[in-house]
Amino acid sequence: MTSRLSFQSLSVRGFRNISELTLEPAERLNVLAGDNGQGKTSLLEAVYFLATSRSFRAERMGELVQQGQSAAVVRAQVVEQGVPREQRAAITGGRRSLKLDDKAPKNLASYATRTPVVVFHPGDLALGSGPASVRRTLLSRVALYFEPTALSHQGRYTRAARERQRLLDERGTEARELEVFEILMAESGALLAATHRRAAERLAQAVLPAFRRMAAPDLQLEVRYQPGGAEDREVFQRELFTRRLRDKSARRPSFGPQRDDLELSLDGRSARRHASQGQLRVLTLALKLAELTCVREARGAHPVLLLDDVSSELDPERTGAVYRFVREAASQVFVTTTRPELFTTPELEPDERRDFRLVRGALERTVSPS
Amino acid sequence: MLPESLTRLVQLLSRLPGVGEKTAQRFALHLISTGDDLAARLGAELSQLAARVQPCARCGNIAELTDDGPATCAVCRDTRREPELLCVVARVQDLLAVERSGAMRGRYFVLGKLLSPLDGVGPSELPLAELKRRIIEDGVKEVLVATPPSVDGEATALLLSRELGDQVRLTRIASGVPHGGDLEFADRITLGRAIDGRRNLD
Repeated sequence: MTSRLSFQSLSVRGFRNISELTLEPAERLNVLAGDNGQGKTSLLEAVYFLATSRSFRAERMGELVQQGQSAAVVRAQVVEQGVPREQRAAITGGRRSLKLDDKAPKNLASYATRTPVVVFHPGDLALGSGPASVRRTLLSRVALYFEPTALSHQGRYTRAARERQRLLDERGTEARELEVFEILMAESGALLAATHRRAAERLAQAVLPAFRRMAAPDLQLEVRYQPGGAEDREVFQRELFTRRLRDKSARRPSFGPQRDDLELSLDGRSARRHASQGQLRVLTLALKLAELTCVREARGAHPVLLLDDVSSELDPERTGAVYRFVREAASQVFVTTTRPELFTTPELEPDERRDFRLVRGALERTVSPS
Repeated sequence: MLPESLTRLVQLLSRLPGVGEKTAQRFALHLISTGDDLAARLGAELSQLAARVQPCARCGNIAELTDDGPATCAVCRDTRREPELLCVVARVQDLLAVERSGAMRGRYFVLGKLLSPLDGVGPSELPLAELKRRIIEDGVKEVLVATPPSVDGEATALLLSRELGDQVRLTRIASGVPHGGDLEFADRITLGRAIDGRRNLD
């Protein structure tokens, strides 16, 4: 059974260019209109931050705090299966703090999987042709929902890798304690690689039906996990040992799940090198819909959807496919657009949709086009 | 706004763990307004604390200095303890936690820090020579490594196994599901780690 989940209220303070804002969203569709630079994407980012404790576009957490402010705070009341809860995510003094019903969550993973969200934003177009890091983010997001321990493997792996790097830097390739950190890297790295592989397998399964609905009927898509490390601890540790010198001069490990990728091929040829722009868009969209399916299955709830300016990147036909999917998904949806008049939703009841306009980080309610 | 000496006190108090400026101010105001001689007694205790309480010369636990020789803690003086079992912990707090369990019949050794190149702690910063001497002197047969299950705690445990492995039997505390709890209430991370660290039933 898939449970219903929605934001009942949201308040944002000191976040990017939003000084203070409160929003009471509709159960189904929320259209956030406004010209560029008025805070539409920031508002979506605030929702994403509240739900995941991360950002889908910031490099550093500090960027999220409005200039001249000491803290960025996002609060929301979320209702799942009729049961309300309060969530609060904040950044103060460069540190992140999270509260669930006024209490600190047991661990990051339990907070970050509590309110599932899936975001579609223009940066996602890099999924098909961009750097591996974009596809790795997708892998770790799916892995997190299926196996929350992935986050703890990730944290341990990163810490051990940093310790080893510091040792290589300061004490060279012969330090006796290098072995100790390589054992720990191999241990958590192998577990992390296994969660990434399983996430890739789930994605590969979920992406095919979505792809078939949108792409040319005879086009064959294949999605495969391309490991940057190994699932065998001994192999992993041996590789680290033999790569000490190389990793020392490169100043980062050349082996491990931080180099994982998803190999995407169309009719047996690498999508990254050979796909057309149109094919890449369809592929991206299919991957995002697969993420949505995976998160929904893993979490047993309809994830909240955040669509950032999707129509600007897609042709009307694909946009139509997205909205069809959104309608079927039974999720609460937030979309940003510069052209709200293009959104007609005759199938929704009047109280299922709300329209808002953002002007310089402030929000006003507008009338929905009928 | 506050008198200077009170401000100084508030600043000092707020350096204590878990005490913010508001709490510190509340403490300070309470100390001057309360009728009894709490402030004076507290001051007397504090001024003698460093002289009286010192790390135990044998294990690093907190100990009270007496007239006869170096400070020795209550656990090291306790003759009913098994000298052959030694529990290695990172901090005094961890020693107290293990001690509260009542399950530890041996004695302790407090490392004071964990192996962490990022924090500037290498093997030579750890009291390994003292630990080895202790093992020989007391005829220790088993060392139970009770460092935390963090990366640095595990790294320290592994380092100890390499340094002491051929001298003595080394054991590691298990990690997993809390006792008395139902599995259904264990959080997923803990349960996941318990499954990852499963052992043979024999």
